[in-house]
Amino acid sequence: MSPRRVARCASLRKVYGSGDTAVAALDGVDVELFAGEFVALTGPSGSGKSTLLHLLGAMDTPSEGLIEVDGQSLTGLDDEAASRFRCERLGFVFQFFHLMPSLSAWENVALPARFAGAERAESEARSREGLARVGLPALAERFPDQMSGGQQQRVAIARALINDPALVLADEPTGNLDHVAGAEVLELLAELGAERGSAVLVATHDPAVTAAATRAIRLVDGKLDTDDEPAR
Amino acid sequence: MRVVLRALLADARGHKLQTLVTLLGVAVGVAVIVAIHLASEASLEHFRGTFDSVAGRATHELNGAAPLSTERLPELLREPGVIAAQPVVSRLAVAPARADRPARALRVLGLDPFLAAPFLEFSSAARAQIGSARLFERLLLEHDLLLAPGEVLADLGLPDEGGALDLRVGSTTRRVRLARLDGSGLARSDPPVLLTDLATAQQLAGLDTGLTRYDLILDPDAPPPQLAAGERLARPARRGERADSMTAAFRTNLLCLGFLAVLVGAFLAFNMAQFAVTRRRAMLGRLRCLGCSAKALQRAVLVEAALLGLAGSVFGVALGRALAGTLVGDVARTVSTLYGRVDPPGVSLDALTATAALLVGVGATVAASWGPARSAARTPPVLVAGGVVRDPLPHRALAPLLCVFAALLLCVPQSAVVLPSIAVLAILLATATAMPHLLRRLLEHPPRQLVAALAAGRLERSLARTGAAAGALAMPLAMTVALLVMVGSFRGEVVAWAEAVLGGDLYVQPLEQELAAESLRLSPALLDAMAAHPQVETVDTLRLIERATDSGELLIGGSELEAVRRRGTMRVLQGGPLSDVLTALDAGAALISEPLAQRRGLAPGDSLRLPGRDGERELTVAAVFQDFSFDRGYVLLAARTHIELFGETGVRNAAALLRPGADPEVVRDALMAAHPEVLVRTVAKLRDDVLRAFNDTFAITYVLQGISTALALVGILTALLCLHLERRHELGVLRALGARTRAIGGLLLVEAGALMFVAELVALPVGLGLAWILVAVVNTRSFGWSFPMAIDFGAVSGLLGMALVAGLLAGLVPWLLTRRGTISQLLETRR
Repeated sequence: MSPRRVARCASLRKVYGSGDTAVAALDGVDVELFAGEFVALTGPSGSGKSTLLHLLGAMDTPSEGLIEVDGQSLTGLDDEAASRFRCERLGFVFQFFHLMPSLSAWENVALPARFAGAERAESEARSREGLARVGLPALAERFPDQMSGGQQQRVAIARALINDPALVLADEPTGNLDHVAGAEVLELLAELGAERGSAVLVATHDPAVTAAATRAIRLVDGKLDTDDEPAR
Repeated sequence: MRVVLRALLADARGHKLQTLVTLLGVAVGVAVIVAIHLASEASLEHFRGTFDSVAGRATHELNGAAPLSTERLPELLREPGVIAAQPVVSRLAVAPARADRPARALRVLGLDPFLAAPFLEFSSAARAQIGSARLFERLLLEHDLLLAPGEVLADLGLPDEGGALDLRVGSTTRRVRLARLDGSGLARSDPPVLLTDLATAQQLAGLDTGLTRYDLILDPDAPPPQLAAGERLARPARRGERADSMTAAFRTNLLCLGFLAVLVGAFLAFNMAQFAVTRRRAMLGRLRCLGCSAKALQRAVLVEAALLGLAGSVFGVALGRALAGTLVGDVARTVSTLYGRVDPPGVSLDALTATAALLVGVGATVAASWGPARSAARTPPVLVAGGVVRDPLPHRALAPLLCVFAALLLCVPQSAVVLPSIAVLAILLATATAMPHLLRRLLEHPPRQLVAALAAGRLERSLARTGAAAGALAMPLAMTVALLVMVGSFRGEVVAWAEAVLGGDLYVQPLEQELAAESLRLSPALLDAMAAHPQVETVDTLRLIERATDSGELLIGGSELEAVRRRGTMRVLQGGPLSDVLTALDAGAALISEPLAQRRGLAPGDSLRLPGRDGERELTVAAVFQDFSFDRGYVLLAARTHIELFGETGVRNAAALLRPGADPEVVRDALMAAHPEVLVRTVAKLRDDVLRAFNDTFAITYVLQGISTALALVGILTALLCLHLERRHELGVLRALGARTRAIGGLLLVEAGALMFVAELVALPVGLGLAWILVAVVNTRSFGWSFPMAIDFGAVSGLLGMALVAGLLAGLVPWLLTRRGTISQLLETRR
């Protein structure tokens, strides 16, 4: 049985500016992502990696083309539907973690569950469970400024996965971590994605990420350059 | 330092919105100061000019019991202390009613054109008109010609030149011709003045060669002129003296409000400077890492602040000039209510005001930037580059120290206005400096609700600026609460007093009461007519004279007090039951007003020396009564005692007590038809007039308070905008995690609401404390009026509710900005 398709982009184009100053960040990209895949999205700076992540995450709208995630077209979603999509079917991991400084670790992890409508008690239980899964059960009450970068990124991964999303998007998740912490985070992301059947798309410059991925997509100047298994 | 400054300015150019918000904060602060100053100066100068044009530049008037003779002039001019003298005939006249208009009261003012020049304050336009139309020559030659302003001619339905008018002076009616003369200020007096030659005025008044008075300009350092029997030297009109005290009171009031505007504006500038430093911490850190010294960095930040302050101040001066145009109408309205009609004057911006405003704007910006600049420069480069720095809060001991300072100032009993005003400002400053600490205490235990917890966290991490914004709002709010309570308490007491003391049914006074020289009296014929009216039961008269004593001027009244006797209308504060007081009064004792008792420390049983016609006489004080009509000393005697002491000085006012069932308005109309030279008011009208005058007096205060509050709301808006600009990536993260835009809106509203709530929570008790200072300290010491503090909780809640709504609306602005961009754009702001 072939794996379930989680996301599809067809003829995807994103243009910033207009007239003479128009710049195509993405120019006719076709990509498909499948459940359980751990895909590295590579390319030089300005190649359109972050733009592709934001379009797949319904955080921006394409100029042309089609995007479908988990069977749902993202074209023409209103704020309510886009917000529901993000908190129920999508997980996002940022380079700078982006934890809310005034919330404790478990409160940060619980945010997407709360936005999806879960009660406080239920979201707290799921949050603590997620923190245990990323190896930080003892740090549930700590605040971001009381944790190391690696610990913060683990919390961010737990946050991304709390609603069992179909697609996890990560933008340079190891870019702000040391080698050891980066490797741990990477391993955790791949393991948890596979465990839950999510597709994980990681935008990165880090060769270690590409090496760990099941597939590598390379963008150059907004166009798909290569899409194949990574060289090991 | 130049390189650093260039880097800072380039950064400012690159963050246009933030720079614009900074400029706006400074500009609004400067604009308020300029507007208040220009509006008050323009109105007060114009106001003073109005007096000069009506009362002239005379320093004194020489009056006599009988008409004065023109032969007295050479003697007066020979007196060493007399700089100038002019003979004057001044008489009330009536233009009888016609089918198209009712009767009009006018004043005929006869002057000698050759002697009048030093006394008159005509505009250059009026002087040009007098010259080109040879108006004064015509006055000498044409013995039925009078000059009137264009608006008076229009009101009378006459053309600009040569219109005929029947004019009744006393019992004689004569036909005169009128010509137009504008720019003399004559239209502004009440009733309007018709200017003419002395001889024409004498003819109209039936005075032959007699005069009403002499106007004098006396040398203050020379001895006063020798007076002949029956002559009396007086200030031109009480109105002029009141103008000075009015001007002083206005200036004090406006000065306090101006300081308040500066304080609020400085807090805005501080907020902006703090934000600029916070936003640039990483850049400043990089500069420090590259070898820029702390001193050079601090200097560059301050120079940049000065440049931004200058740019904002230039804009603020222009804005203030525009704002003054609208403010001046309100000042003029207040002045008009108290002293007769004053048209709103034009506003002009002089170089000195503009320069001072620029200096204040730049100085406040630099002073406000000092702390943030020092904090940025002193932070180690590594820490600055990391950007994890909390802005310092005002020292915790500052607020208590300011409160102690204020308490000490209030303990100085001699100071009525200045020290209590400084104390009020110190308390306001203490409020603002305490606010960040209070906010921190309140945020120590964040709520469990998600949005509230997020909002609390965001506020707590920007305490220096959010606290300053809440403080900037609390200051004018507290002051507004204080004024609301003080004015409300005062108003309530005045209403109760007016209800209690106005025991008559009709009140009669000469039409030009406010201008009243002592010669202005109600005629015996009028009093007889009143008494003879079938609906009038009895008439209460008031004789009123002013006398200078060693401890200031006294107003001394004499009355039958029929209304008091029959209707018990007097609020006795000290001295026992009213019946005992009246018995003592009839026996020759005196009643004194509360301000007089306060000022001289007098109580019932003490003795009071009054300068009578035949020398000083000592009277016993029988009681102290409440009175809001005169803030100087007021002594009330029985009519018989008054006549014994001062002779028959004539009746200034009268009150009629009507028979049961009589209609006061019918009697009023009958009296006014027969005597157009007097003003007859029903008790209801008089109460309305008292309250209208009261309300209008405080109208300008409310306008200025409103501006200060609006300024503080701009502060809240800019603080929220700063918070938004600094932390908008957090909103992007929340949106990326699935937060809906309305949840983001809720978060921003909770932040705005929390700041407003804390500001109001503090403003209420501080405002009540300040109200106590205004009521119990400033009012009692300044005017001698004591009244209990009455809190109108409805009005206070309304004020705080309105401010809360305005603050919440300000909170929506960042939300609208958030909605404009995509989540990607919000996330980009962190890079």
